[in-house]
Amino acid sequence: MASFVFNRLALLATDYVMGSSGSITPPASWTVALATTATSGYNKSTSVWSATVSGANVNEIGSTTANGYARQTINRDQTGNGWGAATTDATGATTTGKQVTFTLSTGAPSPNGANSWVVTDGTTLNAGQLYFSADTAATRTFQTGDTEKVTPSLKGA
Amino acid sequence: MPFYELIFETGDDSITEAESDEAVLVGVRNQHERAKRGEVGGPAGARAERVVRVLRYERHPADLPTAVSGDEANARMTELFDANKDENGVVDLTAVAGALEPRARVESGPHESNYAMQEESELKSKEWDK
Repeated sequence: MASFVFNRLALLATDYVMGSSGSITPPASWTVALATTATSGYNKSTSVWSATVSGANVNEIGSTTANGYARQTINRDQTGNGWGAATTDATGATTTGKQVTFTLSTGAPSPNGANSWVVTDGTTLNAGQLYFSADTAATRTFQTGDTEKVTPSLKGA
Repeated sequence: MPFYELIFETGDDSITEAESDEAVLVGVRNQHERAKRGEVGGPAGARAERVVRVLRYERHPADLPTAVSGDEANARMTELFDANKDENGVVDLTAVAGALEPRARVESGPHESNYAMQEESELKSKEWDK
């Protein structure tokens, strides 16, 4: 399963953690989104959320017709609602976030067909910062009442 | 459009956006009935889960305000100073800074709301569990 880290996450380390930047700051909480686009098309620097599937854009499912789709929340903390303290080995440090569940309540979303999940911020669809992403095991096409669970994990090497 | 917090029998939860209570109930009934029949819950093939509670919010419950009145800010700071003060009255400012931002999700019982925001109302389970 391919994964991808956007520059915004690196900037949090370089500018906020190291330099206490006032403009590059982490969100109060993280949100997890599903995208129709796959990580193979993403670009660390130029990718943005967009309703237009073109170039390196990241396109969220349900952004035309949500039909129940909404972003799910993970706290920015180390409780059971946030991220576990990282485990380390010779290859890096890994943290795992709370498992989230997406529910497509009222029908099929448009656009449909998730090919990646994205850790982002904010609750407005096709908006917010991009932090990191990974492909789903297969394209997930949703119908009324469907659920989908995502457990995000991040390895810093 | 309102948002709904679905709480499943397993204790998992999900936020969903729908036009109305009746609209969200279409999906809730669908997932709940699939669970009762032992069917899969979605395209990944995991088992469906019974829904035990549906809470309604006027906005996404993760949308907590970070801009508050001066009075609220003062009260919050006093609360945090008191909570992070040792027996000599010395305040740990790093701990205060870490606790200052609101947390959208809260620790709760398995079938309790998982959000700090107060729900507007709750749908009756007889609407989907018949």
